[in-house]
Amino acid sequence: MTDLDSIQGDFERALAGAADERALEEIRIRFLGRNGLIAAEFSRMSEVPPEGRRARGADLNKLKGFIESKLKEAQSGRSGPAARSAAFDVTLPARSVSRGAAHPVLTTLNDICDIFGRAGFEIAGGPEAETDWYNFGALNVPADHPARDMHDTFYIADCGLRIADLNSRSAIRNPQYLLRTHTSPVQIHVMEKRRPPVRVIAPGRVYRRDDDVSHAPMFHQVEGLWVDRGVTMRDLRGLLEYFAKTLFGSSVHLRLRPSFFPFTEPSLEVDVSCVICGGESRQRASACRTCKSTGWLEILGAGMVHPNVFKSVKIDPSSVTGLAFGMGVERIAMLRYAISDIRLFYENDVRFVAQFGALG
Amino acid sequence: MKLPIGWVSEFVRLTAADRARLARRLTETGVEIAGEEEIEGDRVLEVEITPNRGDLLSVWGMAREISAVMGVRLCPPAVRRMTVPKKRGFIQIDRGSGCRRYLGARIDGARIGPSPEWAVRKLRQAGYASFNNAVDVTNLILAELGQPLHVFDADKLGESIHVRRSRPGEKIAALDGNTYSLADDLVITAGRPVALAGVIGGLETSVSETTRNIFLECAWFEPSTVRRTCRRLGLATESSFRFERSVDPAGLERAFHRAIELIEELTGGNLEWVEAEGRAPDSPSAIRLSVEDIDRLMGVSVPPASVRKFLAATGCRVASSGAGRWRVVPPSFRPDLRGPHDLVEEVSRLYGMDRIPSRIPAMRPAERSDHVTALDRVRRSALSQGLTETVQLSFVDEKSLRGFGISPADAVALQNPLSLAASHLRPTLLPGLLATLSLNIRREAGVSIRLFETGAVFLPGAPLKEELRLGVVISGEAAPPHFSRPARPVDFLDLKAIIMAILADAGRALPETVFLPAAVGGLDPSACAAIRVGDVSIGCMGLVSEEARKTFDLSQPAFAAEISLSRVLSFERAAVAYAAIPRFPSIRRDLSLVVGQAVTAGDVCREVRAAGLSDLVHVDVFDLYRGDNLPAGAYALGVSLRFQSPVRSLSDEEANRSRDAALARLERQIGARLR
Ligand SMILES: [Zn+2]
Repeated sequence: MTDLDSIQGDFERALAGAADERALEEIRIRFLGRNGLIAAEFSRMSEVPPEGRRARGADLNKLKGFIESKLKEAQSGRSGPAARSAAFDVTLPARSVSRGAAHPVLTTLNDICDIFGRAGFEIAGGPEAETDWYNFGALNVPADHPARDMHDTFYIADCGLRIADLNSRSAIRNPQYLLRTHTSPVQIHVMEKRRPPVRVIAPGRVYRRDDDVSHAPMFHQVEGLWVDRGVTMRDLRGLLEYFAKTLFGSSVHLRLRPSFFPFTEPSLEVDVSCVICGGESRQRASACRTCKSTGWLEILGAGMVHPNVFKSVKIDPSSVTGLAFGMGVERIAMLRYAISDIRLFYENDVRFVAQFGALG
Repeated sequence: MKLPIGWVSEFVRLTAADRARLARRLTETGVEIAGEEEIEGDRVLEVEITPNRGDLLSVWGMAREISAVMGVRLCPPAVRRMTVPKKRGFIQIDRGSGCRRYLGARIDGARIGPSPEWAVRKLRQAGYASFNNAVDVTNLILAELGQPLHVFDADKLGESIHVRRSRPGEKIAALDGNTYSLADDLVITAGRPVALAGVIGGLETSVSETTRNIFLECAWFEPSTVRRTCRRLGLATESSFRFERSVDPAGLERAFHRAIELIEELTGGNLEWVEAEGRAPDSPSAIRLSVEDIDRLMGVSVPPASVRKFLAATGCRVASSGAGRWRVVPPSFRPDLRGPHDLVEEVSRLYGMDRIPSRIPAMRPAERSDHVTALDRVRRSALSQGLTETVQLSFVDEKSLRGFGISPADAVALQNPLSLAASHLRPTLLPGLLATLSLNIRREAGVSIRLFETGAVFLPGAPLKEELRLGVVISGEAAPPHFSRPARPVDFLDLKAIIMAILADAGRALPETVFLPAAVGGLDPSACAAIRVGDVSIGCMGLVSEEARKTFDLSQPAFAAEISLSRVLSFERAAVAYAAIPRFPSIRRDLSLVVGQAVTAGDVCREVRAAGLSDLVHVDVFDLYRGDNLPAGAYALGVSLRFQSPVRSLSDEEANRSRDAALARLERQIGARLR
């Protein structure tokens, strides 16, 4: 014996798919015919416990009546010229389902990782709450170094925490936790575990005590590290050129400028030609808000790994060279989508996020 | 820092063409130009100096740099050597205190008053206010030569000063109007502290209108000593900024004499005596450099003659020690040049970093870790469930924690939060998601809001623990409105479907997922479940409680779930193997049951499965009815059983026997009856 709802369901589906009179007749035979489904159910009444037979009979009759009336309705609807005028209105609004929307920062972050992934960079990670050693000391930023001013750091309140592993260097130096101010500590974690050659990319959240239109107390960075014999600034330029052209389009060009980061030497900053005005505003002295009419946009910091960083992880600095770079994902997403206020990213208005599509 | 072009031109000869390309050239060689303005009729550049280049924090320092990078001639400031009585015993320095050298001069008979127009104008161009002629001289020298100076009212100092670490309980009322308690800080004392060395002077001994005799200080304080005091007291001054970045130890005398000269000129005072104590730190030591060092980092062969030229331009003394080998002594003002890599940076920036050609790396796809792949699957699954991805800040406040029944003591607190609204690190993703949900509802951003986030939560302990989680909240309509279907608000089962889909898509070999009634903070006990896979608890879900709704100003019902991805991903990756598609028809049998209120649908399905029925492939609920015509304390539940054999058609009799066996077990185990 079959559930009547499922018979009704089958019928409705068949009816909806019926193209012409002949199909309707076939349906009538299948359901109402002498050997049809309804008749079959009546004949299996003996399987029903006696006390339920009456109810079952009533339900079956109801279903039979339903099928008859629906078939009649369909037949009358199809006969004559009126049928054509009642054709389905294809302009009715679609019956949509909820669509997902990927966050533009994470989409950008994934795109960046994919671009470097194609160049052999594996994804690595590390904790967001770090020790002073990983965030600063191992990266050649000693305590009392003014370079720390570049990173206004959140510290985690000491609630009697003890680092379990007292043998680790970090515990001895400073047991206090802080929120990592950059993804560079992942360089240290990676090189502690793996010997060169190393090609990794480390995306993640970072924290700085800052809050205004262009700074949020939390944002995302992607760190890159490539350590091997013979890695030079030529590779750095080539890699970043490949990256920028893939992300922003093949017409952009790069500019490398000297800069300073404690963990790289030489250090440099990388600009791309303005993705909005194409660098035109500089020549024509027309106003471009994005590049402030300089024609250039700073997108990342980079350099050659400082020998002291290699020493921190017990790699002989004379045996290899390395390049490292780091970029702010929000900044790149802002350039990519012409967003002017970083806080829009963390407000998560669904109408904002939905603009960037579901596919991530 | 403000760089007045007129002022810098006193030290370098700049043609009109030089001036035109100055900003670009400085940018190319490492000094960023943040802006440009006109002050007092002169062009002033806003230059950004990196922390390693303390030597550029003055007009003279920038002149030196411009000369190096543009190849223009440098005219050093004139130094007047003076013959004056040398004093002994006025200045005493504690060894190892952090003060390496201290020059002092006494100038008597000064008349303190306003500075002449030319001095005020220069100060204004460099971004300084004018106070009085004596103080203005210290700022002029600071701006011009980068050497911080201080002037005291000599009559208030007494017979001697002592440069030492502060003693317990000592305080100083500083020029900024604040009183600072000292704790092992380097101070200048005259019985009591009269200045925080290198940071700020004391109010009481400052030079004022009534001052007649001046004591001038020109010293070299250790960068780390000055920095520690500034950090501890939350202070930053023009003086401390320069000491932290190291001032040129060889520049002290020049600044000192120039200051004396100017004070005499501007105040009409007369130099009485000078005293010099301590020894300035040595100049940087020699570095061995070879062409290989340069090639190895730059990937470019720079001609040896150019290397020599570039390094000499930066003020280094370069001696050849063989072909393509040098012994390089950096100038006293470049303590940042410590090893060959530092010299390579100098060479590369003068060579032109932008001239280095590129070498495109060989493309070879990287391996993706299982963890990364799994996370990506979770994210894509959530998106395919129609959820909007969000990024919440990792902070929460105490009120949100309490809304979730979490004591703030059980969350990780920040020592220096930006505000009370961000006092702790989140121990759960849900407060952020509910706040975002609330914002979207209040803004009427949509009738169906479905959000998720994946991210770390922070759990106190030793060591502090980070756990990766997935949070989902849904509220409003179950589907986008359409005229053809009735509107229906989301409910628990909608969220359950989302969670089950995501868990399935994660691609882990998870044991059976079970949802058990539970009590969880922030969720309503009437519709709240703990989620387990096998015997591992992986999260919870349910209706957001009234209390939590109040906390987040949520005007409508919402459902929330949180899953520990760290735990889910700790399971092995699921191996997918093909299973034959059934070729034989299935048979369905229904059981309309009446069960006690305490019996759950999960109990019923579990018992059916536990009955060991052969060829049972699916158990489902097809009907649920609570209401009249049922015994008190009971409700009706219809379950369907589907049987299918991979090898043959099943007979009706077999299906009936199995159904009867299931019913018998249900009657026995959970007291179910047929309806
Ligand atoms: Zn532009």
